[in-house]
Amino acid sequence: MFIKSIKLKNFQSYYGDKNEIEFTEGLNIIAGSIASGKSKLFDAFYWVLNDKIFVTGKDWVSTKNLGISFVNDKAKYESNDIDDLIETSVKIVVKNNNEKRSSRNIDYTIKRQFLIRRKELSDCFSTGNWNISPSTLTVEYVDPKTSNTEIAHNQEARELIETLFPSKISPYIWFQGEALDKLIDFDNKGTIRRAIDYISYVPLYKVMNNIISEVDKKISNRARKEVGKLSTDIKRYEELSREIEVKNSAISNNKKLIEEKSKTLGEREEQLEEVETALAALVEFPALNEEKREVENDIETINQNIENLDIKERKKFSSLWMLYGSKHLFQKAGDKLIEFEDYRQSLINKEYKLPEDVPGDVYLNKMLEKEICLICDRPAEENSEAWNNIKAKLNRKHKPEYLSEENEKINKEVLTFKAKLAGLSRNYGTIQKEILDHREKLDEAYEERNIYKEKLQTVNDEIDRLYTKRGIDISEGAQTHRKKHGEYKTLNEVIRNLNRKIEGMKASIKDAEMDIGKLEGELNKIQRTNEDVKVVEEEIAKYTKYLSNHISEIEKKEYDKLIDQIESEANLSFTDITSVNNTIDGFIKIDRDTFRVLNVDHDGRELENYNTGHHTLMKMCIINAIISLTNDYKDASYPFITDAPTSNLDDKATFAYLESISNTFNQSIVITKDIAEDEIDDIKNKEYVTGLFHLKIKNDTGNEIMDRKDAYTQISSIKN
Amino acid sequence: MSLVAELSDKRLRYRVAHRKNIMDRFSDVQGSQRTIDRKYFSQLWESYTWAAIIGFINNKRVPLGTGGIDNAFKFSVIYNNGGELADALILLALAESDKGYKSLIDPDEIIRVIEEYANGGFEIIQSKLREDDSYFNNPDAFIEELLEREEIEI
Repeated sequence: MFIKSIKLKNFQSYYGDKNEIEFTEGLNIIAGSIASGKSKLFDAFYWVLNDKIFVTGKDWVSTKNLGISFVNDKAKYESNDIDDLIETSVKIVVKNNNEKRSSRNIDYTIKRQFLIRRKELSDCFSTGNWNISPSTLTVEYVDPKTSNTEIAHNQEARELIETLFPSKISPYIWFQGEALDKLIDFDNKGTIRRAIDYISYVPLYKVMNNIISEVDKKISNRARKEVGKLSTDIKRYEELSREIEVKNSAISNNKKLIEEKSKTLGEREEQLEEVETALAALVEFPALNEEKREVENDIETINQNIENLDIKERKKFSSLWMLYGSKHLFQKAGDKLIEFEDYRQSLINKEYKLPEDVPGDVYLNKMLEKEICLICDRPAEENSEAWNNIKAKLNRKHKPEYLSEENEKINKEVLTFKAKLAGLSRNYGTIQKEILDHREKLDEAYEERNIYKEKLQTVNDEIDRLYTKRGIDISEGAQTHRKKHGEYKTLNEVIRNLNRKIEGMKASIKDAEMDIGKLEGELNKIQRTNEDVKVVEEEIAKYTKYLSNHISEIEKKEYDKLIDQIESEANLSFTDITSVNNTIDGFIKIDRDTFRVLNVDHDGRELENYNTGHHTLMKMCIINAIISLTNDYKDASYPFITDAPTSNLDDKATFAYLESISNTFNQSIVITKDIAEDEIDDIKNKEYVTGLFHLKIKNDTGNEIMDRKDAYTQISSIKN
Repeated sequence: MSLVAELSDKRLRYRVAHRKNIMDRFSDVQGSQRTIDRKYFSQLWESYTWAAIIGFINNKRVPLGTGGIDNAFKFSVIYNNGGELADALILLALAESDKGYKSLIDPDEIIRVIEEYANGGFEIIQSKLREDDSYFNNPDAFIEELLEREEIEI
């Protein structure tokens, strides 16, 4: 079986009908960065066959519960009229080459289609504004017998798909990285046993055993009847035979009931495990929630601090800080003020320098007082001519230039601004230090906030993990806890009762078998009328009994052999892959009693340093081994399709894994984000890669920021 | 009347384009509550004074010319709200005025010098925004611009 092509029309991020990939046999890689449409491509495969789409946090959801959410947004946005019709479809062409006769190896075109019609023009993204038709499924093929083209619809199509891709095997050949945990859960013994039972041939032994046991029962009864006819005490023989039949019937019924109850027991134990997991999550949640609140409060405090610092900064900026860098200009202003002072002083000095022949004021005043000229010693009586001359000399000085109105005004301003300049200069000196101190405080606050934001993200991730992994809505808190606790108690009780009943039935079977032994003993003591007559059924019964005993042993041996083969095959790819990775080592071992999967050293001791990468790798190697062995035994091959299987592995391990699956499967399709754009050339040249495709999200508007209505996935074929 | 008193009634003019592209962009209208997400300056005079100081420090003096001028606020607004900044502007104008200390009795000269250096400062800011329109979107950019200024020793 291999997938020849897939074509998508208006499905999720794939706009229009030009989205096609033609696959090759061998390893096909579809690479693309986050949100480029990779998971949507995986969804497309799944949707065609199962009418479901994976919703993160919820699991696979049926189309009828999704409204128009998976119809391409650009197509919806471009619809402008009532009655506009949008077709969403995915078509895959597969070639079935598992038939023994090559003439029956034909192509099947499987198509699922979904139609919506616009009924209201407001909000193109609202489901209520569209009429929705249920999705339809068709499988088209050319009948090899008649050469006519046949088209199977819906139910018939589903039956055809079941023969091509049996639903029991498909979870293991087509899986999404996120779903890997549920597929094989190392803590749940049921999953690995189930995986082996679903897809291997070993359960056929159980079927054979059941058939042989039935035949043996019937033959033994017939033999007993025939021998009875030959016995010397027919009545007693028949009595004993009836009792044995009754006991056998009781044993049969008990065995059937044990099988049913064991199945129920298994289901209840799984449910119990889920409830225990949920309870554990609920116990974790209050502590996480409290931590989240504390961190949020701390962030709030830091934000307040940052706001206060910001307010202070703006205030300071507008009062003094913005002057930073102008010191030289203030010095220049100071120089101008000094310039005036110097000028004024020079004027003052000039004013006080008197002509040589005029005595100073003091002398002149003395002369007036003494009424005598001290130069020529002549008397100068008050109001005499001499006296008036002296007075005139005293008064002859005019108003000094430095005292002019203009200069007085300037002087006043200079004095004022000198004082202001002094104040400014003093304050200026502190600006740089203030700014730098402020910056330091702000940077510290930002860094502290980043640390707390990271802390908050970690706590939120932990809480989300509780939700997605445990599948419970923790927000209901105490109510959910009470409910889960009630379920826990009930399930425990049910399991105890089932175990009791099963033990009781097993004991009954043992007792009945012992009774049958005694009755057969008595039966054998009854003589025959003719010892020489051979009863054919008696002879046959010996063989059926032998077969019945041995098929169980064979089943167990084959089972053990299969586990050995799975381990061995898984370890081949595990060691190949881990040889390029120094952090993972050891071997895979499946515990025969518990079916737990362990990582052990050469001596069989469990290695304990697991991380998510280890788990993922071990699971993938086991699944590969199981599929590979199934393909060999059933002489059939199925394509292996996986989305994001290697997100937990480093680059080297990723490439080693890809190479190993290229050796395991006739066709594999791996959808991965793990190949960077610059590594694409490298991978293209690898021999084991036969097909390489790249997905990129783009828009036609040229804007860097992409709106949902503009963005779409573009497929580029790099090698095929 | 003192210089300050005479200046109080005078108005500081600027180009309308600068009002639109710079002052309104970085200042709120008077008197709203301060929060972290608001514009960096709460009043127009702050962004004007900031531009003037940038003009003085970078020695870029550009006459206003005629046309496209808007009268905005009285000098007294800076004096009443900005305290030391108003005195600083006067001293900076004194430093750069061709009239030297005589400008201390010539309020029109002080106003003219401040206006022309503010105009130059606006042009410097405008050119920074032309290179990168988002330069001052982050409040840290205002402090960055301060710290990039060189202290010139005389």
